[in-house]
Amino acid sequence: MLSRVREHKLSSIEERYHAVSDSLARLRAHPAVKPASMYVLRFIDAALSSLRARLTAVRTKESYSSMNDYEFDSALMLSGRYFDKIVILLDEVARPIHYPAPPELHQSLTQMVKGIFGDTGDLLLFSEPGINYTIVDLVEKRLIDIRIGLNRYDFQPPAGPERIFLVGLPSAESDQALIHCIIAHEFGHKVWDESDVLIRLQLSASVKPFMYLDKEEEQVAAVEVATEWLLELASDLFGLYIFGPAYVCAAIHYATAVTALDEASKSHPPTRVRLHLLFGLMDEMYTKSMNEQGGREFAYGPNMSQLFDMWRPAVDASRLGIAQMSSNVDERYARTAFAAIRNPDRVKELRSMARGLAQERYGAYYKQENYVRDMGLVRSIRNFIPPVQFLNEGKSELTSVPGILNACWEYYLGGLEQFGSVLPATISSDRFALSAIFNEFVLKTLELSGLAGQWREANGS
Amino acid sequence: MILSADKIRARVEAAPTSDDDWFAITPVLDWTTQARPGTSAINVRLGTRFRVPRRARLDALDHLAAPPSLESVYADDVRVAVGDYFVLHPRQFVIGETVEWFRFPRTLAGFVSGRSSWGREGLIVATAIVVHPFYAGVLALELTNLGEIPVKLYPGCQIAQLLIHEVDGDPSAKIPLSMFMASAFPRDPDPLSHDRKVLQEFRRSFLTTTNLPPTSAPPPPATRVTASPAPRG
Repeated sequence: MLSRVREHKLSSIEERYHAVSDSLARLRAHPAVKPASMYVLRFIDAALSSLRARLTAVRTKESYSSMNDYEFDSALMLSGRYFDKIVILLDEVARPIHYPAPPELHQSLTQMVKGIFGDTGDLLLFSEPGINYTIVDLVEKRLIDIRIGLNRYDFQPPAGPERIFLVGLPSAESDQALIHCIIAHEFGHKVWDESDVLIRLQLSASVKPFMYLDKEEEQVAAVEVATEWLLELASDLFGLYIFGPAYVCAAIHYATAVTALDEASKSHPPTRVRLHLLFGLMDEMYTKSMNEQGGREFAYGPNMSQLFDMWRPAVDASRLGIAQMSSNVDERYARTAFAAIRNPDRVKELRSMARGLAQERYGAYYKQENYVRDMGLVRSIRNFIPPVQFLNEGKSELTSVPGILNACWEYYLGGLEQFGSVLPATISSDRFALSAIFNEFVLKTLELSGLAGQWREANGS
Repeated sequence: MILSADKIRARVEAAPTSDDDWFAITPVLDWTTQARPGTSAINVRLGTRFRVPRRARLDALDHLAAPPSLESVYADDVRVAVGDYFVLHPRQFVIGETVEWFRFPRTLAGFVSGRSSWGREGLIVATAIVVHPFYAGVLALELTNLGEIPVKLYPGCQIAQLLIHEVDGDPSAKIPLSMFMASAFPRDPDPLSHDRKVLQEFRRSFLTTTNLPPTSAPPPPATRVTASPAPRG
C-alpha cells in the first residue's frame, strides 16, 4: 500500500502522461502529418505506453512499497527523464505542422535525401522561426537515446526509417525555392559527420603544419577552430558538387544578405573565404576550354556568367586575410586556420574528399555536361513551361532537381522579363510581386518534378 | 477542328518550331491512359491543392464593394498529400486544380469537360470551361458535388478531359496581359474587373436616388487591377 504522498506523486505524473497522449492524438489526426512524423508519433506512443506500464508496476509491486523515499523518488525520476525527452521530441515533430514549409518542396527534397542517405532516410521540413538553416537527425539525436533508455522497461519501438532529418528553412526565405540549394550544405554536414572521426583526424593532421602556437591547450583550440572552418568549407564544396553553379548563386544571395563578407566566428569562416573556395572549384569544374594565355572560357549561362564576373574580384585570393576580419576568434587561431585554407595541397585534398563523398553518396555529382544540357531548359521557362520533363531523342525524360534549379537561377538572374511582359503593370512594375510569381512557378516545378518521380516509382517504370 | 488524342500527343512531343508555336502539357504521367488512341481529348488529373470557401468570414462576396482576397479571407487553402483524399460533400463547392501545367500556342485553344464516370456520381468539375490561346498555367477546376453521397477525391486521379481545337486568327496577335498568366494555382478572380468603374457609378447613383443606407461599406475608388481578357474566365 503506497502512502498518500507517493500516490499523489504517481497521479500527478499520470496526468502529465495523459496530457501528452492527448497532444499526440491530435497530431496523429492532423491532415498535414507526413509518414515520417507518423512514425515518430507511433514511437512516442509506444514509449508512453512503456512509461505507463512502469507506473503501474510502481503502484502494484511490493518491492516499491518497501523502498525508502529517496529510492522511490529516484525510481520515478529515472522514468521522468525519458518523459522530458519524449516531450522535446513531440515538440520537434510538431514543428512541420505548426510552422509549415511550402509543401511543394517536400517530395523533391525527400527524393534527394533518399538519394544521399539511402531509402531508409526521410525528411521533415518546417519554416524555422530563426534566420538560419537548421538540421537535426531525429533518429540519431533523440530516438536512439530514448530507445536505449527505455529498453529496461520492455519498450517495443515500431520499425521505421533509419534517419529522419528535421530541416528548418529560415522563415524569411521559406518560400524562395532558389535559395534552398543551401540545404545541400546541411546535408553535407551530415555526410561529413558520418565519417566524423576519420575526417576530423585527417583535417586536424592537415592543420598541424601551420601551427604557430607552443602551449598544448592553445594548439588544441586552434585545431578546433581550423577543423570547424574546414568542415564548413567541406560542406560548401559538397553543396557545389550536388547543385553545381546554382549552389554558388544561392550562397551569394543568402550568405551575403545575412552576414558581412569578412565576419567570422569559431564555427564559421568568413563568407569571403567560403566564396573564394567555391569559385576556385566551380571555375575548374565548369571550364569549357583554355586558351594559350591561360584564359578560361566557362560553360556558364550568360546571366550566371555576369553574376560570377561581378563577384570574382571580391573573392579573389588577394582580398583574403585576417586583417579585415571581424570576429570573436583569437587571431592566432584564425591565423592557423587561414594558413591551412590557403595551402593549395589542403584545398586539393578537401575538394577530393568532397567529390568522393558526393559521388559515393549521391551516385554522381553535377558535372559540366549535365549543366550544359540543363541550360537548354531556360527556353522552356521563358515560355512559362515548368522544366519538369525534356525530350531526349523523341523520348520524354524527367529533369533533375539540380537541373531545375540551375535553369531557374539562370532565368531569374536575367530579370524575369518575359514573366513581366504577360502580367498586368501592377505586378510587372513591382519587382517583389514579379519575383513572388516566379517563385510560385519554381515551387510548382519542384512539386511536379517530385510527383512525376513518385508516379514513376509507384508504377515501376 | 478538334484534335484527336494522337494528334495532341504528337503536337506536345514535337520540337517547337518557334516559341509562339510551343504547345506543352507537363507532366503527362501516363500517355496511354490519358490520351487513348481513337478518342478526341486528353484526360487531366486532379492536383493536391483545394480552396475551400470559409463561410464564417464573409457575409457576401461583393466584388463591387471591396474585392476580397480568396486566399486569406474567403477560403482555406487545403493541401492533400498524394495517397490521401479530399471528401467533397453534397452541395459543397471547392476550387481544385489540375496536376498538368498547360502552355497553349497561338493556334490552339481548349475546353474542359467533365468525365461521364464522375458525372454519374454527381460531380461537376468545371463551369468556366474555355482555355484561350497563349494561356500558361494549371487549370482551375470548379468542383461541386450535386449528388446525394459524399465523394472521395484522390489527387492524381483522372478527373476531367480537355478537348483541344485549332484557332483561326491574326498570326501577329500578341499574348494578352492577364492576371491569370503563369498560374501555379488558381488565383483570386475579379469578375467585375472590366466594368467596375461603371457599376460603381450605377451603385452611387442608385443609393442617392433611393436615399437608402448602403448595406455595406461604400465602394472604394477603382484601384483593382483591370486586366484585359483573361485567357480563362
